[in-house]
Amino acid sequence: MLQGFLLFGITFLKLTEINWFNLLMILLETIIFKAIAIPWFLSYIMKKNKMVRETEPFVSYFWSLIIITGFIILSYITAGYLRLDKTARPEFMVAFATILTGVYIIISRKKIITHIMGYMIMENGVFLLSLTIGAHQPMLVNLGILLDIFVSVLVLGLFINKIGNTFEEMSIDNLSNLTD
Amino acid sequence: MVLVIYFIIALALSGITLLFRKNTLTRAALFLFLGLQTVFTAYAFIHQGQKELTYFLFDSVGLIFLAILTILSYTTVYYSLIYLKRHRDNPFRQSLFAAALMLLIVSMSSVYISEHAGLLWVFIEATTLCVSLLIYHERNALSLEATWKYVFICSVGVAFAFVGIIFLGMTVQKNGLYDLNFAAVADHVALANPFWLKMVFLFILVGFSTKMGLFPMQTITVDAHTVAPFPVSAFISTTLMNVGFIGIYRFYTVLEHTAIGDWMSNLLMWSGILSILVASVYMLTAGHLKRLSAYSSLEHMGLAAIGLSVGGPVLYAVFLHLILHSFTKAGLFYHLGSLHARFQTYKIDSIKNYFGKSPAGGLVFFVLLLFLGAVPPSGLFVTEFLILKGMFQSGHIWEMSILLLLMTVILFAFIKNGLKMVFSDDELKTEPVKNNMIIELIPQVILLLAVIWLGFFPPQVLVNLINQCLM
Repeated sequence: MLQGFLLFGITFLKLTEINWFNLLMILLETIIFKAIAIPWFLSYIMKKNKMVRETEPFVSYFWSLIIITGFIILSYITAGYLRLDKTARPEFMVAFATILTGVYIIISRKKIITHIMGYMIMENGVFLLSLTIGAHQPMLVNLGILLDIFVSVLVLGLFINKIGNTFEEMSIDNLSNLTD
Repeated sequence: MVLVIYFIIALALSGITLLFRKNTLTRAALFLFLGLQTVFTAYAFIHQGQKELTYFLFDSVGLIFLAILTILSYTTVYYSLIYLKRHRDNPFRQSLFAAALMLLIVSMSSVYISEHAGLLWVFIEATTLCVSLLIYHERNALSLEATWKYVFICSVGVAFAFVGIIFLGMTVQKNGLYDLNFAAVADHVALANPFWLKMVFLFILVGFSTKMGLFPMQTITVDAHTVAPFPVSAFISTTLMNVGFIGIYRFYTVLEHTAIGDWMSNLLMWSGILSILVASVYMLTAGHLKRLSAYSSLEHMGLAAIGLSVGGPVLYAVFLHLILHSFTKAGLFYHLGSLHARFQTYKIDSIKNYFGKSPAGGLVFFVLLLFLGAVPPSGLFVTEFLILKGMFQSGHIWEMSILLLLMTVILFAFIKNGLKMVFSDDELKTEPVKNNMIIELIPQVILLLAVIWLGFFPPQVLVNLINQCLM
């Protein structure tokens, strides 16, 4: 939720050059979907399925923190390799680190709801990345929005309800019956 | 304009099926849709090379895959009707199945003819959504698991591909291009920073390999095959994998002549070889018939990737290989449907003495397996031979030897399992249920004959079309 509001702010500051219609679309999307709808929807699901916040990571929190710090350093180095201009560098760094963090959370956690949150974090990273070029190619930003609306809300939400109904506990340990 | 009409009619048809939920109407809509798809394909062929709505282009690569899709949509609709009749689902689920099938065909057609990187990506995302509905059709715990994995990992993969596209956008932006048409991008990437381009291709390859079923992300397509209704499995294994291929192919050709050409081709080569390695290992141990077939798709897609990485005249073999593989593999999955109706199982160990119980079915099944293993007179023999020859000529002798070894293992796995199912004695003397086998076999035999014909005597139209792709 916090990320959603931050993205809204960044969008507002960044995209002053494009025409007002696209700007309005993007701003509305960030504020409605990223900041309000998706967090509300997720918390609704959590309440409905009586989930608690406690997660059971494969890796302890301490090491997770260190690994994520590593990601930030890595994206700093990558940004250096890419020879970006001064303004684009910090944005790229943050976006890339966010994407990596999202992927890491998906890999390292067990609960399905945490997987979705990891995906959202990654999605926010992708959105931020698309903003770095958004000033000239608003179409790409709009496409990123499409990714959000469709996948996150409709499909993932529907299926997580089904999984909650079918299995006792929403953990990926339940999802390992398909083998040879 | 025609494209807009095509979209509108297709959407209207699927909307009507969902709205009224009458079985007869669902069937009528499916037939109308087949007509629409045929007319659209014919239009695309007549207007070859023409741009449509600024972002779509009827180029030869797209046309080849569009033609495969249209031909296979006939058979898939035919078998879908058989499937729906056999399962006696309620009208709502039948209409949902039909609507999702129609939308899937539309979005796959759009992927083939997209000329814009962003648009291609949107339609690939659309295929994920449509196919997830179809995979989930049987609504049990297993299909829920497979659908969940498919949707989630595909979404992550597709987001990866989107990152790749953004990188491409950033790269060309430096050279003053604010559009991502493939033709325009190809002119602007020549002087770009190689590190950038490597990142682009890496993200694209990982992302679209979820669709194509190549090495890093192959598992989900295999799971999806296992639980999907058999006509849908036939689509996932053929036309949907072609979607992944065309995604990778478009970016590959754009970046081919830059500084990273060799690096990319190496990456693709090893991705292909690893896919075939994984396929061969799992095929030896597979106990589930659909998984066996899914791993075989993995092998053939690996071969296509290798052929693409060798490039040059081998691309001719790659396109022909994809066409023939689509026909054969679709035939196999259609056959698995009738086989399942007969034996009520996909377990390789439980299927015995197929030939004794149904000579025609057993014969077609065995021939299908042999054809997939590229035993002559299968057309796949020709194309695999050409790909291997191309590898030899371009100096990839080591890779070729590994490949030959792995392909021998795969052929062994096919024949071993095939012989076991077709000829072994059935001690229990179980009497399987009877069904109209012959009617179901006819399309499969036609596909098999087409594979021989296209492989050994390709018609001039097809040869011209493929040669245009190589230019």
